[in-house]
Amino acid sequence: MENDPTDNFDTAEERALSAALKAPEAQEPMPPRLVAEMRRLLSDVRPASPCVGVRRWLRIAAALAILAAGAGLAATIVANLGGARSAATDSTEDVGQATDDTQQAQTIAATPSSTSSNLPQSPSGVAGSPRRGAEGGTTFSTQGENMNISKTTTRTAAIATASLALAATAQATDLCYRLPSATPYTWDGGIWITHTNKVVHGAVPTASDNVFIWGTGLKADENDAGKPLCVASGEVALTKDFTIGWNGVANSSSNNKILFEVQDGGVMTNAGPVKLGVVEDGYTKQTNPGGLATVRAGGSWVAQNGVTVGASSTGNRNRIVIEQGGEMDAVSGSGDREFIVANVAGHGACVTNAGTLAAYDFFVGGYGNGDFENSGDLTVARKFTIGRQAGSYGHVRHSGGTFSKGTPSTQPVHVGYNGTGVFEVFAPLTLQKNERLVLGGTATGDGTLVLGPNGSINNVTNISVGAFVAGARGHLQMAGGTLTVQALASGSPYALLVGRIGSSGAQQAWGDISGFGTIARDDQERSIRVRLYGQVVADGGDLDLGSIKTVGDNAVNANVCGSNGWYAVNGGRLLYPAAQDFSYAEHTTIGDYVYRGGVGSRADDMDITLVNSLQLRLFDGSGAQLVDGKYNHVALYAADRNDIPGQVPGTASQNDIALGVWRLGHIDKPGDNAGAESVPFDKAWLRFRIDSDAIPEDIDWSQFKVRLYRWDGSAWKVVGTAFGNDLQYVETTTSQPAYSGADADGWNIGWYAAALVRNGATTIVFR
Amino acid sequence: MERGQTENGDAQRRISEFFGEYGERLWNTALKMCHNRSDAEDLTLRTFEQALRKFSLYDESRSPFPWLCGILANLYRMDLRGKARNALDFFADPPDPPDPAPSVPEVIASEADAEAVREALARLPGNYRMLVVLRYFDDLSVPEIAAQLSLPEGTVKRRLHEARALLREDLSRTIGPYGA
Repeated sequence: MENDPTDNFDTAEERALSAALKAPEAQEPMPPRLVAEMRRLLSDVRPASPCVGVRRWLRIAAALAILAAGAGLAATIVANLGGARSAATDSTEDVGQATDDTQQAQTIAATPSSTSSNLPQSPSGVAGSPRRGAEGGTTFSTQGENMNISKTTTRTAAIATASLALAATAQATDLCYRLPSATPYTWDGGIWITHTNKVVHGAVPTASDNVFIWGTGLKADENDAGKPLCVASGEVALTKDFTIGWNGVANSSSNNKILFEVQDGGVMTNAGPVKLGVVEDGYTKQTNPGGLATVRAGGSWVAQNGVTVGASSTGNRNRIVIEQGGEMDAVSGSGDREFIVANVAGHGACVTNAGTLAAYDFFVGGYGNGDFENSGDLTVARKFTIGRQAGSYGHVRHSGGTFSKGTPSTQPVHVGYNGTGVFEVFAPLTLQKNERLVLGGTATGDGTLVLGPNGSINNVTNISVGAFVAGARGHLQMAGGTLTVQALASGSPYALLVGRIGSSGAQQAWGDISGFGTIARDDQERSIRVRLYGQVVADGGDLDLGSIKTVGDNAVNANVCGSNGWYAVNGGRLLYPAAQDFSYAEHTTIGDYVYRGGVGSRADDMDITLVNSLQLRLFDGSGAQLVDGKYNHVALYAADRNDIPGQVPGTASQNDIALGVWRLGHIDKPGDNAGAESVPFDKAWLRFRIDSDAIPEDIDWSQFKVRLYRWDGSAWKVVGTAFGNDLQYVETTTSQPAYSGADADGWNIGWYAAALVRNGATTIVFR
Repeated sequence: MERGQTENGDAQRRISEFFGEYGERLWNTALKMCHNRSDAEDLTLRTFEQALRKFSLYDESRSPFPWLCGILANLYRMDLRGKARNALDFFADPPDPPDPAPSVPEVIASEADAEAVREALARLPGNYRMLVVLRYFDDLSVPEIAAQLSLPEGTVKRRLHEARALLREDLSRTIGPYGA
């Protein structure tokens, strides 16, 4: 290095930065694949020639892949040419430089080597199966790690595919299937005719032919498995573009659709896009052309350039079902590889009925109304988005099986990106480390994640619940499930972002967490943090956020939170993020984050503002503030719960309002409400930010007061009254003793309640 | 023609040497800039591709490392511009208001653990992250960075200062008792 000696790192901060970046654990060895690529580069590329960069290769490949055929067919052509180029995807094989490949492709294009022209013709004019055995090697991996398609590997495969593509173009024909005289209607056993002139084509489709499946006969009711066109055992079907349900089935009855199956031992490979349900201008249209495609056990379907279920037709006819033992691979290939369930105005559905589906980019609700249910093995290499475009609706239900997604750091799971998305998780869902969830991704996005009773998600480092951009809306609905957040080291960002406000305090985006369930962390030694600019509502059971240790609220000035905050309704109980006592803090704040200690929050944010947040101060026997570094946990109870002692203040008479019931404990365990033991103290001072919006605006204050109550083991007694703007706060007038009731273990600060009650009402209610 | 082939052979030999000496370090530079293995592989590969093509521009009297870093950084900047055009596809944490929080002590970064610093670095905007990596990982001086990126030295210094302030602000929210 030629560093200027005067420009050394002369501050502790700079030295720390440099040391952190150079730490041995932060260095990684070069991947063998990169080393192999470099060796190839340095041995093959001649700098005097224009060298085509990786991205340019990819661009060329992407353009040609529209026309490209299967890699297996490429192998055939390459073999015919003397094996000058290998179609294998092993990146260590010699590919040569791009200019050579381009020339090679052009040579292939000029060579009359199309497989279709060489097909043996059957007496009936139907081709045999000339490709059988030559292109059968269509396999794919379903492991998440392997789904991360590398550019270098893609490049190698793309070059081989590109070579094939130019050859394929010369022979492109649009073909349709005409029924043979008897079932089964097998791919090789039917009569292939031209799409436009309806004349016999005389050969089964090749990888350069576009295939449209429509017309009479290939239809059945929803539950009728009869009369499908099938790729039967031993058949290897190829197409370029493949359309199932084009401009209408012959019978426009609402229950009819085209049926297509890949059966046990059959292999379907499409070099071009696959579309189910297409309405195309310029033709006589049926309203709802539809296709039902099924991959049976032992069947294999490889879509190399994208799949659209419900391309442009409305109705509920478009569906792909992958049965147990069936496989669909929409990863292999080099095109866009977008798997879209419902595009344009289309409706579509896809079901992995215990089967296996591998996709590159997976969108449910492209522009239309899409539905997807996973009970098999779903792997998505890159993007997974539900409700992708404005106006779309996507619904995904994970009811069993596995779900693996690649590129977690750069491509989050989007639920309601531009449109509306609903992601229901009713079975364990294990993601890759460092995954992110975004509920409500853009200004028009509205995303809901539902965690059902047996549902769980883990390895998520960051969840944005309507917190990404202004206008977004996000909802995390807990229905008994568990969300386990991957706790990172000190210094990690907020794990849970709920809602968003601007610098003026105005609400910009909406987020809420509701229901019952648990948000946990995977490492008890590390923290996860929440930033709340929305609402958290325990509804119908325990909503446990006790694993979260801090609540960031660092850009909120006093009194701008409105109704944002913490709630418990319908028998719900909310376990707040726990809070630790700190030596330089005047108060311990729970459910909010105020300026203290000169670090962190804004200096003008001194008050708790989130509804039902609170502050407390503990004292030892000498009257000194207790700072023992222990934790405080708090639960907010819905007033209708029957485990609250006595008559809940605010529920004794009409017009009284119960504003909040809290139970608190000073405990030994960080961020864990289970099994915590009480740590002794002498007295406690508390302040609550109450839900003043629950008080009617026309209340006659000459007759009512807002009071703070404490349960002393036998009765609720008044210990404070409300104050502040709009009576937003209640606090203990004098410090209160530690709770020593029979149920004090772990909850030794005791029970407190705020209520609007009529003046003169009896405030001591015996149990 | 023969001379050209010799020159090409020299270039290949020298770039091979550079790769042997600096390849792994540049790979780690790319990894720290991209925070994505696939992108980092691509960036490293393109760096040496371009070095090979532009070898005639290399000044043999100087260390090759800053030159290679410059190629890598400029390719990374181009990628960032491309990503900016597709901003909706790129997720990042919602940025907090860009207030460097001057009340935060400067030494705060030195008190954070190394992993926290690296994670905070990952959250920096790409252009800032690039400069921090070049300066504090690759040990390039400010003049070297300025020369390789065709930027005034003052601009490099200012952006490094801003990058450190952003890191400080990020770390200030998380280290110490609040996030422990």
